[in-house]
Amino acid sequence: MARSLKNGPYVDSNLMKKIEELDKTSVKKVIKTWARRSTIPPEFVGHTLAVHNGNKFIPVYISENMVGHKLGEFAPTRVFRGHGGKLTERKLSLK
Amino acid sequence: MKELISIGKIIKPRGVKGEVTVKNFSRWYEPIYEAEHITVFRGTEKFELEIESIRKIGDTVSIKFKGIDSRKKALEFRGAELKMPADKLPKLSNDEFYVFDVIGLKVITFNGRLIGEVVDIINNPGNDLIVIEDTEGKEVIIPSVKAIIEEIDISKRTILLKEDGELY
Repeated sequence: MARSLKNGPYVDSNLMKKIEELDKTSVKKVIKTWARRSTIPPEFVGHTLAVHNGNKFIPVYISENMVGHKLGEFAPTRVFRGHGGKLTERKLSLK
Repeated sequence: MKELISIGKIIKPRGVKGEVTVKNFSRWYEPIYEAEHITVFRGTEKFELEIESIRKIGDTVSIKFKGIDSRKKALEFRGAELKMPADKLPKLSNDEFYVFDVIGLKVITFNGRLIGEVVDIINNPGNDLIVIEDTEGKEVIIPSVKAIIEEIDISKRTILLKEDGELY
């Protein structure tokens, strides 16, 4: 069953507080979080959050198109290394 | 000498006329199709083989090399790796880089502080991640986004960061 519209999206309150404090001071800082279930509100855009994947913290730079998704979507808990040799097609994109 | 990049591996012989089935390591087939010669590494041995014919079969490529005319001879190349010069690979757009080009680059902040050296790239759903080994040997991960990275200069072998703040 989907979450009631009356409640609005779930956003981790501690994380929200930390973001608001950072916005007031305009200091760029990476915030560690375990709140993978938290929805990304527009206030998070432009911040870098280190989301725990069960093993380590994965830094996620929040962009506009991530709003409405959950933080956990951007820090996968499983890594597929692939079959066979080195992949020549593996590439790095600067977004 | 130009750097050679692995493009595929000979899995098994195909048919009785010396054709071999090759597993392509990338989704691009053009570099193999356009090549006339391919460097084949069998263990420590190196061969420069001429391609006689080539065809795509499912996810694999079937290649007939000149001079390999029997199944027995093709079987000797089972497991061999096919390599090609890096400059023969397809060109990427401005903000895309091959992983083999990026690994080893020095990461420097805008005020000249050396963070470390790139050791790996993680393709993450949100943004790609650059794994850096810092000067103390610790692992530092930074997202590959323009808000953090000023420029990636392959010729100068450096990645310039916009800020000198906290990294993760």
